[in-house]
Amino acid sequence: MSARAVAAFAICLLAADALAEPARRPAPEELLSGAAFVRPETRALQDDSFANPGLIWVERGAALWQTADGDTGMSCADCHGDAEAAMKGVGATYPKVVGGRLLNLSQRINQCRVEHMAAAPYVAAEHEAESENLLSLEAYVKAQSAGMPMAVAVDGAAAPFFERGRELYFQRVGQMDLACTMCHDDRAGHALRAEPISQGHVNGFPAYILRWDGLASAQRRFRFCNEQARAEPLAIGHDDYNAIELYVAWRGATLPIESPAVRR
Amino acid sequence: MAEKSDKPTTGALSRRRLLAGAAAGGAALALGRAARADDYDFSGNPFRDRFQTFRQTFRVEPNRQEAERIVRAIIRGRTPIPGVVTVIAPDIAENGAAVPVTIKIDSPMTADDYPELVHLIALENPFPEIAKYRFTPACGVAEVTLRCRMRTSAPLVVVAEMSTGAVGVTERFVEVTLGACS
Amino acid sequence: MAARKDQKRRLKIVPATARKGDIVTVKTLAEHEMEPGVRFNPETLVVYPRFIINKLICRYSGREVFVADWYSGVSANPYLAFKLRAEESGTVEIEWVDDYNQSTFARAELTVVDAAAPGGGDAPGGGDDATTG
Repeated sequence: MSARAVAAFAICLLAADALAEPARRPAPEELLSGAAFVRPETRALQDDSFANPGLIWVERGAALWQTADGDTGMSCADCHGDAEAAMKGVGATYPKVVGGRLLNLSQRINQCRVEHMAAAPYVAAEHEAESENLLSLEAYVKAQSAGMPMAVAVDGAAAPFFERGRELYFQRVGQMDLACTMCHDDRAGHALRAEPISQGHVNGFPAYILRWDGLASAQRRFRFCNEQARAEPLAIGHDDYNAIELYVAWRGATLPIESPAVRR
Repeated sequence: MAEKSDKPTTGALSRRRLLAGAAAGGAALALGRAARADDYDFSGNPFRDRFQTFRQTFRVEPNRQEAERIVRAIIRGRTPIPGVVTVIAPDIAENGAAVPVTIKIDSPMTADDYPELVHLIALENPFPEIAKYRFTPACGVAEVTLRCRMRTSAPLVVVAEMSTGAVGVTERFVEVTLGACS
Repeated sequence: MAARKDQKRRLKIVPATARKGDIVTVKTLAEHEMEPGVRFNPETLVVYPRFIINKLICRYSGREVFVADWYSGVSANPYLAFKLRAEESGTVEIEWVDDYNQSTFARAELTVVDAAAPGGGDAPGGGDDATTG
């Protein structure tokens, strides 16, 4: 067979494989936020408007929103005004395609800083996993959509990224040869050691993660999941993680945003 | 470096040595009054606690016998009064990094009778003493809520020392499980 | 190593306005990593040195009413709630002292109305979280 025929055959196989995957997202009435899989004390902590540690970051984000930065000497508030009005519902639409690239909320904030404030993007300090300031702003913006259903777009410009995300979600990775679907679709609610497996939604992120004593983004959680499957974790902000985040956000559409949630 | 050195080496700790020596000699008269629990630092070796050496490489392990000795030393032979202390903690903790605990002490909270010093101890922590709370009658009700760390499933012991000299002790076992992905 | 300057301190008195003799709840939250001194860098095996808030002092109208001594077993971003009997209107001040003897403060107003007056009228009080950071 000629090389082109082989290539065409291989592409057909791959396409067939993709089409053969059932769209196994939980039915809307079966959707369960991560809050349904944590203990009552943790749920109470998340609902506590004072003691929820994630609110520390939301508060800092509110202060950063008003802080001028960069060569323009402008703050977020100078362009966007009051976040409660301007950012209402915005967090629920991310990740989304901006200028041909798929960006999640924190990347969009950094892009705004670079392009409109002429400020340096927030990067993580050397010993930290993520930038505290960026997490704070992300938490603050996300919190303005609290209670609103996740509603990401997966058609139009987002379609190729959505397909990539779906492909990655069903791809087996790591020494343990695990795909996201194997735990979060097939075994949600079952026990993995002493913890119940959740459905793996991102409506609570950025969330206060008890094992890390701090706020974490969904992609940092993806890294941890990869490490546990003994797969090579990608960098936070990698295109593949953006695509997975888009797919997982689509998968949990109609779940209310709970950020900042408290998770294990 | 020995993990449990009994030699306080800095000047600030020589008082501890003096008290220990006086107690061993059968007379705790260095202060002019009977020694109380808060004269001692039960958090373990304070040198190990506070002055980390630059390249400390040993791992601090819990010692159940040492933790129980600490509890006995705080109680100091007094007979605990039952029912005075209530400890509310989950049966199974979500994560050992943040175990929510509420301590309530039944006390009239008068100038003569109030919980002067309340200890919270986890018997399987590398540093068993978690916190000490000093109430005054102005608190109205002796109750605290906190989040503590527990390394493994263990009893949480609360010892409440009253201003009258009485003591109340309560224990509650909290399971700390190994998480799914840890 | 001292704490970062922008680390938050939160304080809330529930309820902020009370009748004389009532018990109010004082809730405090501090942002602090509370490094216990047992965790270590997995590559170099060097233990991260202990750095915690080791004391919380509550002063009500200037008088010390409650003190907490903390050790490394207290969780990160430490939360503490305790009770206070409302005696007179005044400032409730919380001081957090860390291992390097650096103190941070948060203050909130507690308004106490006469027990005899029903409802207490429109008493202004520190009803919002008093946050500093």
